[in-house]
Amino acid sequence: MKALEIKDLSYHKNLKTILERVNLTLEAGKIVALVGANGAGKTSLMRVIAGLAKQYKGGVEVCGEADEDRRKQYIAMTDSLSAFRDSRKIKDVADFYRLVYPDFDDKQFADILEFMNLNEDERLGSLSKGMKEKLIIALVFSRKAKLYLLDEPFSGVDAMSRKKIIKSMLLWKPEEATLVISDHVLDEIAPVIDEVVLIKKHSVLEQRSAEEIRAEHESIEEWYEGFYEGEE
Amino acid sequence: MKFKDNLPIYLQIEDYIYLQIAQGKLQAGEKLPSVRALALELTVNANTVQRALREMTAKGYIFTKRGEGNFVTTDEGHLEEMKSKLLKQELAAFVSRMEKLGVERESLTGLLASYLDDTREE
Amino acid sequence: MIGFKQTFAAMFKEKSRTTWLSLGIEAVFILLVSLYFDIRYGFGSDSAGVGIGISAMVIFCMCIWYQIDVIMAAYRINRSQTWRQVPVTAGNFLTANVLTGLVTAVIFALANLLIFVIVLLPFIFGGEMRIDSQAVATFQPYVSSIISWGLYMALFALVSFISGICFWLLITESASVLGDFLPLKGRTSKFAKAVILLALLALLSWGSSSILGAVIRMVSNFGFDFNFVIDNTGLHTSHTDLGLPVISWLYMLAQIVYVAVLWAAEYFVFKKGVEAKK
Repeated sequence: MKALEIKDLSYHKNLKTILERVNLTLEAGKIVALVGANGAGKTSLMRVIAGLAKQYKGGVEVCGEADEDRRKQYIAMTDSLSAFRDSRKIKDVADFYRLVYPDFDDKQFADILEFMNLNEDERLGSLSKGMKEKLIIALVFSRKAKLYLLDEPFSGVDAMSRKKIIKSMLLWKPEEATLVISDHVLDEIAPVIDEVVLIKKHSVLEQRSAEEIRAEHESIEEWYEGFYEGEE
Repeated sequence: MKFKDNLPIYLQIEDYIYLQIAQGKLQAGEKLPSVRALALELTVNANTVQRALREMTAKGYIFTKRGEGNFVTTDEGHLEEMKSKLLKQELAAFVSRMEKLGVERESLTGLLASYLDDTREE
Repeated sequence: MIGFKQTFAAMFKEKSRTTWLSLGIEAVFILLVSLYFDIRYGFGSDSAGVGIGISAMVIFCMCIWYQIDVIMAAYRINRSQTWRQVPVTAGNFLTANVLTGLVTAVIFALANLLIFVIVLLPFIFGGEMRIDSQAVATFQPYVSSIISWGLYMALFALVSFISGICFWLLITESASVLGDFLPLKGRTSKFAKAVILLALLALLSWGSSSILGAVIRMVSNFGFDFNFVIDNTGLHTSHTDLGLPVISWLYMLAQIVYVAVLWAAEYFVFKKGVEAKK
């Protein structure tokens, strides 16, 4: 069963190439790291998959669904919650999620909030960067989706919160669901990933199994850095 | 538990479980924690844990009861084999470190014997 | 996937928050303004109308301002990453967005009517506004036509309001889409967006008036003679005994066709081009 299938995807904006002939297939149940330098196109790729970016060419199928609107039902993507003012409470955001996502699970949301040490009466404006990221992760994993897209979930997050976020992925990702985590470093997520997908030069340069790389006595970080040697 | 980053993690998980058994934290015939629990405990991917368990099952060190989970083997031979494998690994690591320090293989036994003698006095 | 009803409910819930807030602030403001002018110009004298006039003016401006706010809110939702992740078809999304805008605007307008009545209360109780039984008697034959006329106008206002939302969404979103995909960067892109916006505004205004004009010309060829007449008996049409003449419904039809054209264009731009903001 394929969670995601991308064929010959190209995406241009202001005549600038953002993605060029991307081909990528992800199996169901995998945890995948999407890595590449800042500005390589990781976020754009996720936005295209989620139907948030338009005017791309090529095919994108999520769980066999190609329609831009219909594939949204299978995807849970991190959102910066910019539609909500700072004065809104966590429970207001949860109310919104409950209303618009049929797969939102209240009990699970309560569990994850507790795990993350967050209180539903807190206001968005009072949350630190790390707490807000934890809330975003809690909202994402309260949905029973098929494809989870986490866009740089660790940027600006302290080490303790990172650990919590990683644990929550292991705890609440449904077994058959696929999880894609984009990041420009790999250190902490390396032990939890099945596969690593490297985006460079606007396309997928490599897709490898993590254990396969380690079997060649190379750490994933060394492998990753190898692609950028002599470029600084 | 911290994993080496240049060795397949499933192999390291196997070693981790062997160690648990050798240290008696897991008894012969005892049920192993669930895949999910192990994944959480070690902060690794459940698929990787699954693979480690599959390899161990193939080698006969653990066995699966349908619907109940995985259990440590009760076969004495297998248990011994597991332990000797661990010992061998430790020894190999020790020898290679000594070699790096310039100690010849031949003089190792002598060195070790006198060290053991010295420390016994205390 | 969620359907239209759920999308509507969720959007209404979020939008009505600002409606209540705006209404609350506005009501306090208008009451204070009216109170000030009412006291200044008195309740009984000939100049009492000045106070009412100013209040009406303020209320009118507020309604205009709120309409702009409704259109901005609709635009923000169309561009919001939070909203665009919601599993709903583009058609349901857009319809829910436009209709929630309409509903909040109607609530706002009705609430303002109520506020105006409250502003008028002191004058009614002050005895300045007496109901003249003779006038009522003269008025009587026209009441039914005025009621149906009122209904007609209310309906016409609703359709026009929808066309207003669609019109502005179409212009602003077309400008953003062109701005996104033209070979321009940074400041030039912002400048280009503004130019495109103005050009589109001119083009669409011209296009709209020619669509409407064409439809109305076509309709007028039916040879109806239709006029609104204000005389000493009040406002009515020259075909009062027939009820509302067919032609005014044809005007309505023209407006509906216009809305449909705008809506279809906006749907196309929204589905194919409008990206969620990062």
